[in-house]
Amino acid sequence: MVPRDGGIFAFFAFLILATVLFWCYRKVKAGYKPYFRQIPALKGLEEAIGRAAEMGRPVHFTPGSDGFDSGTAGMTLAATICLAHIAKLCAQYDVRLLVSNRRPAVQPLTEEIVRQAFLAEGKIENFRPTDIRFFSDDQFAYASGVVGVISGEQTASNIMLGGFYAESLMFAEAGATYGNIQIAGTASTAQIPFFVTTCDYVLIGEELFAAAAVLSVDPAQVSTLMMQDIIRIALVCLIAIGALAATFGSDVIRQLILK
Amino acid sequence: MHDLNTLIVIVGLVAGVPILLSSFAEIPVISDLAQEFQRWGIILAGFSTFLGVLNLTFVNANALRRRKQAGQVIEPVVVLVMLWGLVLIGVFFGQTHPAYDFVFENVLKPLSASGFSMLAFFIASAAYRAFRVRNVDAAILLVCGCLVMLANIPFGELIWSDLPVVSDWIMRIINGSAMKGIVIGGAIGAIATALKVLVGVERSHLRG
Repeated sequence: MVPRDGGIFAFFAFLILATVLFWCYRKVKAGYKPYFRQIPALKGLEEAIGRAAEMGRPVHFTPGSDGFDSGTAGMTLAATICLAHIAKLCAQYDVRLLVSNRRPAVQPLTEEIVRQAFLAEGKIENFRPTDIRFFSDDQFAYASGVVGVISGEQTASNIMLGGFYAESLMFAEAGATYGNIQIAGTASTAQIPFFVTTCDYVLIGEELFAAAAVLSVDPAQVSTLMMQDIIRIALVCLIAIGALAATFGSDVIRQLILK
Repeated sequence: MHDLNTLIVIVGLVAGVPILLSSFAEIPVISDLAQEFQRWGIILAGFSTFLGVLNLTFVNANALRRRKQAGQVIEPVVVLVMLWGLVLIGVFFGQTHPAYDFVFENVLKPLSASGFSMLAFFIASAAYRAFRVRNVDAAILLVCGCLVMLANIPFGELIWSDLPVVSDWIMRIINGSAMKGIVIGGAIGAIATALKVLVGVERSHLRG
């Protein structure tokens, strides 16, 4: 067995993370209710779908450019978890939901999520498989497809959650041009400024993952939010100790992380 | 449905744990297993590509069937002809056929380049929206944006020689620290989400 560079630290960090998650899970199960700040974008989801229902126009959703085979797969997972909630709301309000995919692997999953949500609400007759669309693996072919859906279908709301690249601004500008309520969420730092300037609500970085946890039906999901906060505090402490150590000429924290 | 969801979680766990462990260390059996599962993933991705092609065909065939005006025929016909034309050429003549190169060089590349170049116009209109001073935050954004933009043009240094230093400080210290905070938070969130899905705590994506 040969540890990879930084593998030992990563392994122990993962063990600590899993232990903290387990501890939080037990605490929440025992009845502990931690305080979490409200995420405005989550209230915005109901507003966006409600507006589409009032206008009799569809809602557009895209889970972004990433699939499940990259380091950014977590964003796609979070987006699909949010899609389950969005599809449920659309089924409840009798709103048509259009989903645009770039990655072929995401296509069957999104189709099944929407189908199950409509089925669970007893509105399976409103589900159209052709509304869950795959465009292309090519970035700008996918981008053109999404812009075409927003303009051609006259959507009332545009929801973009997941990992995005240069196409993010094309989607958001198209949505803004056609007067959509826009909700975006990504941890792709290069795209966050574009979303902030063009969207009504933005889930910034970790908020995308927190939203996925908040929207989940299982109350035990709260424990993962607790875990994230605890780990974040621990990391901030580690960064502060590392900065102090580096100031005094020691690279002990750096060496520890590289192990 | 409940049993099926449990089975999906078990399959995910069995396939995910070796891949997770092999990212920490090179363990002969585990690493081989992880590589094998990744190969299976590629095969599954191949099948999902086929599903994607079928979806594209159904959506465009449906659009053709429901057309209300003659002009609405063009878009789905172009997509279907290009898609299935290339599939047939690939299957019967191989991917080295000149028609493949022709489509890539003369259709896909120019269209992609056009799509990318359109971003300049989108950025201009987004910048206009962002730089409208409506509150203190927008005013700070406007000032910082102007300083960074001026520093990035040769004329900026002529106005004030220290402008690149200020711009660098804004990008490195203010922007850099905020971005690092977002990256760290995002990474913790991604790990938590992956862990939840792996152990089956998160199942909402399975039941809609």
